[in-house]
This record gives sequence, C-alpha cells and structure tokens, in this order.
Amino acid sequence: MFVSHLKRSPVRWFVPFALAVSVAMLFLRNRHWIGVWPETAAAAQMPATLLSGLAAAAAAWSVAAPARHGTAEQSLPLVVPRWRRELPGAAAVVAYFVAVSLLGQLVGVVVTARTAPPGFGLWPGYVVMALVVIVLAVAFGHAVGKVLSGRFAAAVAGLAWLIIAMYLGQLLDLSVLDGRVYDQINLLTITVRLLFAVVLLALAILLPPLNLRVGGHIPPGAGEPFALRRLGPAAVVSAATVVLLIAAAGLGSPIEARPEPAAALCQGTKVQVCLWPEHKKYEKDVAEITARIDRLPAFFTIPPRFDEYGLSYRSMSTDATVFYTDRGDRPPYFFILDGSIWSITGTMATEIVARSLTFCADEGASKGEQVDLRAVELQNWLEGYLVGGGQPDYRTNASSERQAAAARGHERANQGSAAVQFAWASELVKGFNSAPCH
Amino acid sequence: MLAISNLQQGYGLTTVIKDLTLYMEHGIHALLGPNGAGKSTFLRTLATIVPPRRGRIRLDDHELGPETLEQIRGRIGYLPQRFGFDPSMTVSEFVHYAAWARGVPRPARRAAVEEALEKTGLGDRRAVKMRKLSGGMVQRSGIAWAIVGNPSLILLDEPTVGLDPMQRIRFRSIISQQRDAVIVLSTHLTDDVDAIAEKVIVMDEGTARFQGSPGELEKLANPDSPGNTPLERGYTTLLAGSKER
Repeated sequence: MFVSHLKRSPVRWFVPFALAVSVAMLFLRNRHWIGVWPETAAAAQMPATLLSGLAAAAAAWSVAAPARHGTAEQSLPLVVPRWRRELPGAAAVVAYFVAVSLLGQLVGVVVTARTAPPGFGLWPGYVVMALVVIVLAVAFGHAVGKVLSGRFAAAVAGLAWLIIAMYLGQLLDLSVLDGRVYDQINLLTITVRLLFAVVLLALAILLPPLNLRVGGHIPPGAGEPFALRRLGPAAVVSAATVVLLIAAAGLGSPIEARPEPAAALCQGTKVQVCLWPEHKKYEKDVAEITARIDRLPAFFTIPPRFDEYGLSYRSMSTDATVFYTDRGDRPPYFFILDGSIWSITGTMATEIVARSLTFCADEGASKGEQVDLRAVELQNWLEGYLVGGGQPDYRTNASSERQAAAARGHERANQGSAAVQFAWASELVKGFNSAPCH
Repeated sequence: MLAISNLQQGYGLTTVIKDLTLYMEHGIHALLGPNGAGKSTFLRTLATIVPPRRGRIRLDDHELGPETLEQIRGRIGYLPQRFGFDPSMTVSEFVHYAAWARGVPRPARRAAVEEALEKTGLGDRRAVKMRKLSGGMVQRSGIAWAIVGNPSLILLDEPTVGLDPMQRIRFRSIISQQRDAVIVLSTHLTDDVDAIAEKVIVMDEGTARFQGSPGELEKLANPDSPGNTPLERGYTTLLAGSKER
C-alpha cells in the first residue's frame, strides 16, 4: 500500500519543484557555507522549513481523501483498521519530503566535500533537525485533514503550519539559519525531538476523523471496533507523547556550545591568530592578515593572540538574558560573519587601536569630537589595511560624521604605499595621544 | 448461511428495525420495500457498521460480536448505494486496496484481485484510471470491490440505480455467477428481482412482510393491484394488505 501511495501521491508532481526550491535556497541565500561542514549542513537544512508548509498541505490532502472521494461508508466495515489505512498515505508524504530534503542536503555534501574540510561529524544533527520539522509538519497537516476536508484543508494546513513554524522556529530552535562553527546540535536532544514528532504523527493518525461525510443515519464512531480496542493504541501513543514532550522540554534547545577543539588552527609569528579547525578554508586569508600585522610599526600595541569566537571564550545565554563568562587573560576574539574577512579585521583593528591609543582615564571625559573621529578613521584604515584594501562588505548605522570618518579611513587604506600609510598613522596616533582630555 | 434472529436497530429514539428474524442460504436475496422501510439500515447492520441494538446475527459458524468482528468483516463485501473511489487509482489498484483492507492474505491477494476483475469483465481495464471509466464500468468496479476475496456475504445497496438496460443485464450476469455466497440485494426495481433473485424479502416499517421465492410473491398478486408484472402486483398487494392491517 505504501508503494501504491507513493505512485499515486500528488506530491510526486511537486518533487522537482521542491527540489529546485531546496537547491535555490542553498545557493541563492549566500555561498559562504561552501567548504565548512556545519555551515553547509545548516544551509542545506534550512529549505526543510519552507518545504514543511507543502508537507503539511500534502498530509492534510492525503488524509482528507475519503471525505473528498466519498469512500467513507464503504470503508467503515473493513478489517484493516483505519489507522493502518491512513498510515501508508502519511508515510508516503513523509518519504517524499524527506527524500527532497536529503537530496538537497546531498548537493551541499557534494559541493563541500570537494574541499575535504574537517568536521563532517557535525552534519547528522542538522539532518535530524530537518527531519523533525518535516515530521511535525506532516503530523500537523494530518490532524488538520481530519477536522477539515477537501482542498480547503490542504490550504489551511500549509499556511497555518508555515506561520507556526516561523513563530516556533525562533522560539524552540526548530531550525538553524546559520551553522555557526562554535555551535553543534546535540544528537540526544534532537533524537528525542524526532521521536516526539513521530509519536505526534502517530497520535494524529489515531485521531478519529471529524470530517467524514457518510450517508444516512450513521452515528459517530460507526464501523469502529468496540471501545477498548480502539482506545488501547491511542492510550499508549498518548502516554508516549506526554513522556517525550516532557523529555524534549527538559532537554531544552538542541543547539549547544561546542567544546574547545583539541587543536585550533593557529598561525602567525608576531601575533597568533587561531581558527576553528572547520574554518580551514580561511587559513590563507588569515595568513595574509597575520603577515600584515607583522609589518605594522612598533607604535601599534598588538595582542599576542586573537581567537575565533568560541575557542577560548564565549557568551552564555539563557532564555531571558545574555551574560558573559569572565574573559580573564584570555585573548581577544573575532567572528567570521557570513564568511566576511572584514569581520575578522574589523574586530582586530578595534582591539589594536584600543590598545595603542591613550584614552582619557576619567569616566565621561573625552578628547573632543574631532579627535575621536580621527580615532575612528584610524581604526577603519587599519581594518582596510589588514584586509589588503578594497571596500568593506558591510554597512553600519553609525552617525553620518562617524560614517564619513570610516569612509576616509577605508579610502586611506587604498591610497599610497604601506610606508606612506604608516607615516600617516604614526602622526595620527601621536596627535591623539597628545590631545588633552576635557 | 446467514441467520438473523430478533434483530432490533434504530437511531436515538427512533426504532427502524423491529424484531426481524430471517434465515438466508447461499443465493441471491432481493430486498424490496418502500422508502424508509429500513433496507439501508438493515444492510448497514449486516455490514457491521452499526452494532445491533438487540438480537443475533450469525454468518456461517460465527455469531457477530466483539470477538468475531474481524473474522466476520473479512467475509463481508459491502457496496453502499453511493460508493466512492480515488480517481487516481487504476481499476486494479482499487480492487487490490479492497482485498488488502478486507484482510485477504498477501499470498492470495493477487489471485483474488485477478479473479474479481475477470468475473466483472474488467480484466482488460485493470490499468485504466478510475476517473476515466464510464458509469457502468465504475459500477462493475464497485462490484469487484464487493466480491474480491470471495466473501460469504455480499451486500449490495441499490447497485443498478443509474445504469442503462445493457449495463443492468451485465450486472445481473456478474451477480448470478456468485453462487457460493449469500447475496443481499437491496433494490426498488422488480425486474432485477424477476431476473436474478432466488428469494425475495419484502421489508416494510422495519419488519419482514414476506420471505419466499419470486414465484410465491407473484401468487399473492391481486389482479386489481397496480403494477405491470405479476411480481409488481404481488408486491403492491402485499404492501396494501399490510397498510390495511
């Protein structure tokens, strides 16, 4: 029966479209995930959330078939219980959408595997995360299809699930927008969630249909075996649902901080810059940055080491607040945001400039607006210099004066030789440090 | 063999079938009666859709009850007056689904489907989608649904409604081949009864007014009673008599 449903399911017509959407989402959102396993896994998992709307609609359509086709009455006295007759249809919907999701993920695997980066072990958690969303959507759609009927059920189920998924997705970490290298999916937690989704689907299948239109005087519950046999499986599945709901709620979010790696990717002489091993593809960029740091004049105070976020320090968050662990003497950290090298050098420039300039000791005192803007210019020049010039790939919402100062700094990094730029920076540092505090 | 004793059935405060006792051997039993006589309710009760309020139903060696429900259901083929189908199914898939859902064991299923398709003359239409069938073909598919797996009890509710004369002749021919089952055929059409029924049950106001052969019903006919055939006159005479009582 499962194969028969697979052959006849209208979902089969959507498979090429769904697959195209998956691949388009994978490549059109961004491409910095290529070469980094957790980012690839998250990017390839994301389409499942969008496709889950279609999955919910398809599930509702499938289960409402007896109401639509008028087969309710002739099905009432069948030997095979109703839940077994519904199961192949629901399973076919799950199979199609899981297949589409996995095929989309396979594209991601193939693209990233070519660069053979470390960290493939981080992938399975994201795969299960996609499965959870699909199975939950099918469970929801199946339940809706038992209440409503016909085409209406499918439209309501699909749209309602998308709204729910978008709302709960944020609240319950149902999906991950960006596979941060310092996070991982806890396999136990996500597996419990998958089991919970499966029992929810089982419960939806066991639910008595409210949408069956049967002719004549046929009372509710007609055709069902006597009460105890009907209630038995429902009671077991309901109990399992409650237990797994408690377990899933107790385990919390499946997204957790990764432990520090045994060996980070560190390089540099004057300064050590360390990356997560999974960010191997940024090694070359970082090597160029460390070489430029090495060439900086002595009036810049450079920390001995920069760590990518999560290696030696990370913020801890709870539902209500975000607080920071005591950094102690741990090195300053940087992020690689959306694959941007500018996000590395921006953090480094901020740290180096902060250490190299003499700020006012008294709280509330400053050296004046113009002098402060010169510091902004210096910081943005250093950011641009460390990248190797060019225009930044980000925008800020700073004041127009500060944006203008930043633009001047970036422009300076594109003008003249390094010696000329260093001479300009030297004058600027001297001027800043000698300016009086007000 | 189907034995019904002291059967009562109803909905809410309404009693539809009152103390019905019948015995049916293998063969075609036509169920005649005016609208509201309780024919469909009787068929649904026999189909195990609604448990009887009172009384006993025995099919071959099994008496209907919670313990025997599955066994009895596996022996019943039921075709309601308005039966439906998934238009995306082929004829073969439709009948195969019936065999599966009626509990025909996997090894015997394919043969059972083939047999039902052959009996209904749908062998060459097995791969045709249900949505592409004519009304007569759809009705034959419905009969295939009802007879697949050779059930002991076949319940057909107004199966010839909407069929043209040729299709009705074809239908009668198919049903006549089912010799090893009790066939209960609910109908308004006395020419169907004339053509194929071995026994006739006339229901009125929830009771059986008559059970016997079509010839016996004809003998009850009053020449002045309305009707075009002796059977129709027998039927109308019987109902007129029951009204007078």
